[in-house]
Amino acid sequence: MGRVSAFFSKNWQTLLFLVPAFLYLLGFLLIILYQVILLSVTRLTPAGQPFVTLDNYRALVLSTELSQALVNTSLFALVGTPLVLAFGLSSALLVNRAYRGVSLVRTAFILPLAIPSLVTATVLFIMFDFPGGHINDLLTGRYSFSPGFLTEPVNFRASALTSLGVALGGKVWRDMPIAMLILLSGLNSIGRDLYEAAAVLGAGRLRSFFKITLPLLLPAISIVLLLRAIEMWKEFIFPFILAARFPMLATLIERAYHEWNSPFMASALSLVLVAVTLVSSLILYYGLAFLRSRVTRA
Amino acid sequence: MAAKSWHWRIILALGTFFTLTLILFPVYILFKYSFSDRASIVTGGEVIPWWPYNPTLEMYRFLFSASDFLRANLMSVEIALLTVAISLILGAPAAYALARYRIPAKGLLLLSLLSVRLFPDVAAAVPVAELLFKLNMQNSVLGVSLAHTLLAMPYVIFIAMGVFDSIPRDLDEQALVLGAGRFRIFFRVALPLAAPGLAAAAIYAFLLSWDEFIFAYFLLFFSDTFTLPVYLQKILSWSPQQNLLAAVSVVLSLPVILFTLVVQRYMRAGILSGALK
Amino acid sequence: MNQPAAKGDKYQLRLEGLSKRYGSIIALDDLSLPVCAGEFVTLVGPSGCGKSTTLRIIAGLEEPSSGQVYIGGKLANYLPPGRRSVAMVFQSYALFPHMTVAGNLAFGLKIKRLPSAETKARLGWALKLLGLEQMENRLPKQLSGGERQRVALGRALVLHPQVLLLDEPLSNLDAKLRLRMRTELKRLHRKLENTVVYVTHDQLEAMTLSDRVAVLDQGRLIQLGTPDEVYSFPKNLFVAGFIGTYPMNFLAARLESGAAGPVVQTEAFSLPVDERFARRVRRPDQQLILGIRPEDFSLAPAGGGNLTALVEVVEPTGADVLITLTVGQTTLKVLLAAKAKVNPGDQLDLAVDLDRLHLFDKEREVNLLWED
Repeated sequence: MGRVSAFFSKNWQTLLFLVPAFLYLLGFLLIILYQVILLSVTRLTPAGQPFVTLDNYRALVLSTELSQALVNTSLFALVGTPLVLAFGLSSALLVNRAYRGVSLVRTAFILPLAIPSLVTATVLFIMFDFPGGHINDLLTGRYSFSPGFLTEPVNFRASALTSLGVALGGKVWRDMPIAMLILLSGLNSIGRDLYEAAAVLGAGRLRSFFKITLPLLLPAISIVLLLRAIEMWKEFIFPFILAARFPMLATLIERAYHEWNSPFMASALSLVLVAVTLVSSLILYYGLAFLRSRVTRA
Repeated sequence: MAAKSWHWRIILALGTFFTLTLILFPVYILFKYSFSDRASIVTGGEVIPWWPYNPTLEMYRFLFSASDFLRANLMSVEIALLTVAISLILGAPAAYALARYRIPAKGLLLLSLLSVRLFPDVAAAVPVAELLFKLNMQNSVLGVSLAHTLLAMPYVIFIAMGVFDSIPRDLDEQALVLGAGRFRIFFRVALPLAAPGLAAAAIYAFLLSWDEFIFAYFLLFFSDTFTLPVYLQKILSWSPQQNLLAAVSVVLSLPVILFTLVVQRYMRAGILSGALK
Repeated sequence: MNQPAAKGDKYQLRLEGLSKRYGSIIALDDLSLPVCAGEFVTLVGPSGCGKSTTLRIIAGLEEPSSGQVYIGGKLANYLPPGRRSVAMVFQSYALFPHMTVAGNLAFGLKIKRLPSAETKARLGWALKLLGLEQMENRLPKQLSGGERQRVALGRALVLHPQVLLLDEPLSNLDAKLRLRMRTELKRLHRKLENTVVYVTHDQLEAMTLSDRVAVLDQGRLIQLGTPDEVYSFPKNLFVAGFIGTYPMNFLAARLESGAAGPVVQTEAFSLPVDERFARRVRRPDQQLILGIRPEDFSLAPAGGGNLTALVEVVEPTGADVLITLTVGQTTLKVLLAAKAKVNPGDQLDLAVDLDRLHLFDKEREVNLLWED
């Protein structure tokens, strides 16, 4: 005990600096976890008395909404994450060159980061309006310069595929700059001399991209995939604004809370979301680690 | 070689043009709709024009005389300022300690920051709403600020750590030898020198709270006043005129656009430490 | 040469058996150093020798792994830096950029809560002492390098510390300014008679400024003595090589007995030496290194010197001229007065000052002549 009190008397100032912030953050997080777990195993008797039960989970397993939400969310993440990576990588390669005005282009490429997700979703809501939005007008060839692809305007909000597709597009658009910035810093750390050496050895641009850039960029790519995948799994705003009828895990929490009026089901869904995010991240993390070890060995 | 490089140039130029279009088009739509007149939106079957027939500031004029819109702005600012205050007051000393002192489990602490930031906010919204309800703090400015601080503080700590790291350690040690205690060193030496960098952290926290939707939506669901993002979502669900939507969106976005370009430099450090949204 | 550490208050600063380990790295190994009141002691050595670590331990910025620091006769190990009555000038000067000159100078005084009249008096004293009267309200960024240095010095001096610690204070100045500040430091020390521990890697600074010099190598105190002692009686090969503007000549040698007494025989020439040498050498086959400073050679009349050598390179330095010569396979550096007209290709007859020879054991690297 003497050593403990000695530690405190010696370091009380350091602790005074550190403890409030971390007490706040970790305390808050622990309370949230405790609350969500407690609520997820709670139900009310008809008289309004809470009791502990697994009924919420039983109901969820049997519900069509959860299975739909799982399918939708998985597709959202599985399609969206590689898209963000591809969009971010192509953008990073486009601005990782020296020409006049490149810094202006780079700033423009960062712009989506500076538009709140809610606003982006609203703009997409306006653009994909039915029957008379810009996109429908473009697709049906009503502008003099656009060829018509369709004869009838599409009601994007009517089907799961189109409405979630629009939401996914918005999410990819909004997240691209972060992926781009991470990849740009990765690109900057690859020495120019490597490319020069490759060029001297007669490697063309494509070959040096696949043999030098991509393998050396793998750490940055891993970070992008890992962090963006988490964002995809938990995405709420885009599907909520643009595709609220078609359940995703995040929007289903909202529906359970406000429409079904059940904080208990909502909490159970919240835990499902946390679990799914955690498990998929772990799989992705170890998958990427395995991939990297293979690449470096080859 | 020359011919090949000529091909590449065209491909790259086209790629840049295509990407720029993809990025700028929605931004253009946002601003265009915000000053569109009614005839340019409700066209009665005609095509939507690329430029409004009669550009007008009507919607802005309407908004800035609408009391519920002004109240939403006020509440957003109040919550954001409170968030900045709490997260800086708690976060700056912690960042200083992490940057300066020998701390045994430093890696673990940083990891815990990351885990707070990676925890899905939607999954936290319901328990936090229920908790605040129990504490009788539902629909309150303070309640939303406390939740926003949870989101903002990890960033504030990451950014501020970088700022404190950039101040020479010699200054702290000199002050120590001159007899200053840790609090005096922090307040009289480190803090004044860190002020410009901490301003960036403050701006970042402000913007995060300003355009935060999820917690604000869940915590203010039954409230009469709400933040600007919730206001936007509310009028969106009434399917109103699109130019009104766009005007509210512009008001919501403008500070974010302006300041993001200002604090970009500091944000990059945050992004690279895996800290940024 | 290591005095027994006296008890009581004889020493203003006393370091006893200081060691500092970082994991398996030994930064400082059992260093003991007594410093008298008013003494100017310099810790000198190559980078990584432990001199800065020693200074930081005295200041209280680092804790020693073992050993004691006594300041003014009192154990200071457990005192925080601000309570040790030491002041320190950092290599970077560490001026607070957001405070004026006066603000910087008064920073420590305010913490000590001196009466404001006293604070004012000390401020005025320091400003006048260092010639900063006109700069009181300037910010550090508006000062020149030399002025910043003086402010840093003043900030330490106003506290009237028992021990003043200076960490390479001249290394950020250009050559001319450095020379001027060196003189300035010496004048200040003579005037204030404060106790100073000075750290530098520049042996010339150490020699010119100090009352005593402590030569450190790889965390060990190799030799402690007056500048003249470390120059004339270096304890080992390291000190002999480190101290001195021009590096000492080192030649492999053996001791042999000649007709007229003992002789030091090198590959190229031999020098007659006195019985002292013979007493110090234990075995006839002992491998030795002969050390001769370039300045201990002189021109001799033809045939009357100790050796004859061929001039290869001549480097005039103004008052002196540094000459590189060869004798057989051996290369020698010799410093002569510039008025000696020497040209490459000349054969020179040189006499060696036999009283200033150094003889080292090759294996143990110690100076046999001054070994305890």
